[in-house]
Amino acid sequence: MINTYLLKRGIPITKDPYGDLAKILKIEKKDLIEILNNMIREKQIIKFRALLNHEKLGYRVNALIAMLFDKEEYVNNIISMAHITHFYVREPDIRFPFNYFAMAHFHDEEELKKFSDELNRMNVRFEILRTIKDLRSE
Amino acid sequence: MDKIDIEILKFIQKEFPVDERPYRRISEHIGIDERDVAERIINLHREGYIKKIIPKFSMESYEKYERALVAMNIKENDIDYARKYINSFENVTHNYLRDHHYNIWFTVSGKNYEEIKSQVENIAEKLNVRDYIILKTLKAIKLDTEFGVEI
Repeated sequence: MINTYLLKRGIPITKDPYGDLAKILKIEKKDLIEILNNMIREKQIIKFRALLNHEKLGYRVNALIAMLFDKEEYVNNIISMAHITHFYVREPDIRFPFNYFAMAHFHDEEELKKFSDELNRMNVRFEILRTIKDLRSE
Repeated sequence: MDKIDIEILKFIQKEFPVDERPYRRISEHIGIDERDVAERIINLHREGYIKKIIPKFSMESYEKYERALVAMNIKENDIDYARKYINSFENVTHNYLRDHHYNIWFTVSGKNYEEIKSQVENIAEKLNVRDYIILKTLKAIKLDTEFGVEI
């Protein structure tokens, strides 16, 4: 329960974040801190951290890059070629035949162009799916 | 945004302390007082630089669930309704509009793949969508959210 709440809403960004979260969860602040520290100790979570707005920080071109390749050693190459926050292996679909999916963030179109030129040089088949809007942030 | 704000963003995107007084802990690293840290973080959130403060899950706990990326072809006029409906599910974690034939992309988690598949079928039926794909997640290679903070 606490997990889902934290993942969706996060810790309130107020003068007393844990105090206010404890009030929402109807528990004592010191108990909340203990629960959270236990979750970290038991490795359910690694830590808490702020999620920043990448567009406001200058990453204006954001895209899901769907790729098809076999060579696993390409993964590290690709990670080093752009600012990639998420990278997954997925089962290809006949209508969308790609097996690697990367969420990539670029400062501008030129950076994206360099990235796709590099993929072409590697003979990786790919498709760029630009982010128009985060539909969860409204 | 000044240099101190940037220092704060860099610090909290790595870790937001679990502590009765988290701002005091941050202030010890940044070298300004606790109240100033609190005010700056509240402002950076209000101005939209900070989206939220959430847990980073371990790979082990990530892998406890099956996951899939779902892509649907949804008519322009139906996007807003679809957005609200899809977001109403607790196990939907990302939902993006993209410039592609499949224009809505979201992730779903569940106990097993069958459960995910039947949920997606129900969503598609409710939204009257026939053209959609479910891409089963086989492995997460990287789950990271840190950005280089410059400006």
